[in-house]
Amino acid sequence: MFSARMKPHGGIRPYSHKSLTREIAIRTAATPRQLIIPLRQHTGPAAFPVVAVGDNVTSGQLIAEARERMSAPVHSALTGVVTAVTSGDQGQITIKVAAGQTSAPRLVAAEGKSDIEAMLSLIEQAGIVGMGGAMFPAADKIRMSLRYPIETLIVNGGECEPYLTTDDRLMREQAEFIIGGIRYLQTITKAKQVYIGIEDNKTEAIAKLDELCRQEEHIEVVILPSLYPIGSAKQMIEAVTGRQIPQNRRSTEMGVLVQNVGTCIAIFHAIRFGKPVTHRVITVSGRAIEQPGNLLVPIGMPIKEIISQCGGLKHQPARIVLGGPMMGRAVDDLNTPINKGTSGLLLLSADELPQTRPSACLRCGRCLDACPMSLAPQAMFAELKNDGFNKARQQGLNACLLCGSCAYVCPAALPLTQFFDWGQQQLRLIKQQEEKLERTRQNSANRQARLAREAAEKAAALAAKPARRSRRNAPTQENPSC
Amino acid sequence: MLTAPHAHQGLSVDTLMYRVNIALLPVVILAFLQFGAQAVLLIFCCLLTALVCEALCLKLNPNAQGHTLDGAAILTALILALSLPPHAPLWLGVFGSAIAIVFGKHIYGGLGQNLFNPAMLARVVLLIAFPVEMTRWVEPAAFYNGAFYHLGVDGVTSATLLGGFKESGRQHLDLLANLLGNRNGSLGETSSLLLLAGGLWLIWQRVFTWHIPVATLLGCLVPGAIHWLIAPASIVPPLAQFTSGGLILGAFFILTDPVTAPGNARGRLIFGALAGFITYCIRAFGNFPEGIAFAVLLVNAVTPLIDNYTQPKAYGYVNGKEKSS
Repeated sequence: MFSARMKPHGGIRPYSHKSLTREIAIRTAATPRQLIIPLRQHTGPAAFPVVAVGDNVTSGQLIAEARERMSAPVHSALTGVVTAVTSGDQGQITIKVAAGQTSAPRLVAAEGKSDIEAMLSLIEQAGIVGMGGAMFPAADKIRMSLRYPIETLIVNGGECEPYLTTDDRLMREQAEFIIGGIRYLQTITKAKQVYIGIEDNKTEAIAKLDELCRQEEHIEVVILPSLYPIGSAKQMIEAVTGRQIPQNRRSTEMGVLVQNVGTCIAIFHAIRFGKPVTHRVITVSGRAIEQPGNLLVPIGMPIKEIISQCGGLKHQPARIVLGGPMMGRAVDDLNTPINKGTSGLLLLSADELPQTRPSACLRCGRCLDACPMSLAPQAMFAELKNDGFNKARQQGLNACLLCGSCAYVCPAALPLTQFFDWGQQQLRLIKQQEEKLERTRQNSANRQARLAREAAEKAAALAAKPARRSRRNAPTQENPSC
Repeated sequence: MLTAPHAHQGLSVDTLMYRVNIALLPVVILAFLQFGAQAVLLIFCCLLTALVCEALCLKLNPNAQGHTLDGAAILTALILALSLPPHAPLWLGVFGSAIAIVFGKHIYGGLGQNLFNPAMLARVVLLIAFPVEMTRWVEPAAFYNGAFYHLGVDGVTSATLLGGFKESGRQHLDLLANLLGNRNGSLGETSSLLLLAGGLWLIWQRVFTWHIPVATLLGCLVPGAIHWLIAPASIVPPLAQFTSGGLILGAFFILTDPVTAPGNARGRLIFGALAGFITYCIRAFGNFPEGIAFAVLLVNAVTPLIDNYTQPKAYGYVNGKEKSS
């Protein structure tokens, strides 16, 4: 056990609100009546449905399969009947849950593969994605890391978003599973040293994991400062190893692999028991919910059912947020389901929300001090206001994590994070357009070359023709195919 | 606004401005006690003019952000008033306030857009245009002796410490008077203790960081002290430099204006040290006995340059700037 080697630049210390749910043990949610399972619960393209309306599915059965890289298969969490299927990026499969529950057979890896390949295949089949919210498919991440010699495996127990206590509870209640997952990951990646990074405000989790780590030779707990966003991979790596990941390079190239504690548990279940990701733990919190808590919910459970299982609402929430308050997504529809990356459901009352009115930028530099990536938010904001996408990119817009630290501290309440999100989208569009333009230009050039070649061939043929004719002495006749 | 983040620190521009105003309140009260009704009227006229000008300018330019009572106009007027001689004619205050708000701030586009500190711009305009009125310093009443300033009494005038030294080369420093404020000078520069207390409170309240005040004080006093050690006859002692001529007012309340100062810590240190050094140079070698106002304007002008060269190195970059992605 040792402390962070380096305090990352910037960051903020928002009021954590974690005391609402920190001491409440994880409980299993009652079976919902309906599941709405999204097909895209990962960074890549959506999965393809393999069930049709009217099909009976069992819990753990594959309902949509991954056909491309960066995609992940989707399983039904419960037994029931498929009532609706839509495909595409926004696609989802609706399942009416039946009374009796039966389980699908456990996942098996194909025969004749090496141990590592078999384990990777199980992780892939189980549809494991980064459970911390990034939702990067775990199998793809590990495969990418295998191209480089992995020195360090960092298990991310940094839950820096306010309100959320999911990972904290998992570390306290399921520490053995985490260690189990770490052992599998060690076998796969042959990592020499494993660090479990935990913030100093989670004393019980640190004590529990440290006790287990004493029996392990190469696993060590690292105590990190309770700073937002320490749970972001880049900041976590800097705090644990003291090194920064160079721009435009992946952490795996530097011999570092980062996995969330929830992902470790999912990997353990997939390899040890052949169980796919069908459930996850979420924190239900906020001042507008009657009984805040940490719930194990089936993926696809609509939030209205979760609310009713937490004693209902105290009063109408001013905002419903999926995820944490810093990076989460506000939702209006109470039928919105929980997916693999949702770590929290917050029902916030009006007094928990920002009560600021926008003003002018004073150039006070608070955003510069807060930015964990050491960017200049005010300068990028000024550029984006004038559509200066290229200049904003030169200032590092693409490096922005969208963590919200700058907007959190801005006294003028400028919509900084909003603008950076929009700016990154615009940059992606511009890049796509440029690629399209380049393709069109290439096609056009190819066509011109082809036409020129054909014309030259034709001319050559014409030139050759009279000679042939004169040789054959035939009357002039047009070739009908010309 | 329904996008992340769904949380905010709760600090707003208005809060920041009013905290600075509150920090200046003890100084204003002391000025009332020492310089009487004339000082009250002067501050009142400055505030009123600034608010009227602010409201008019906001009406004329709907694109300008901020609002009349966001505290910024009040702060500008207050700092200007505190930098004027206590018994300056009221029209001087009115004229200066109008210059500060219209030509110092709104001509650039309003809150957050100005290149120069509006109050110091106005003070320099007044100092150059009306040198006689701007250097008429009255002796304050020793309030703790029970001799409050009486209404309608014409004050006895004399030179300030730095001004007197410049003219006659004599130096007499009454440290206690300088600390408590029982001496002549601008309305708000007399009591070093109250100014220091207000400034430290603002640092504690995180309105600004320690960088600019510390760098300014060091930038002025280190060369000043060396100068004094080498040639004690040609400059007042360091303690007198520290407690007089508005150095503390400038270091804590004027140079720390976020709009006209650099955005990052390294830039602020350079900015403050430069301002302090220019102040020292003007005091030691220039024609004016007090150099803060000029120093502020000069360093404000180089702020964009400092900002450009002190950009922090972004995470994972070797040279600070992105090459091409």
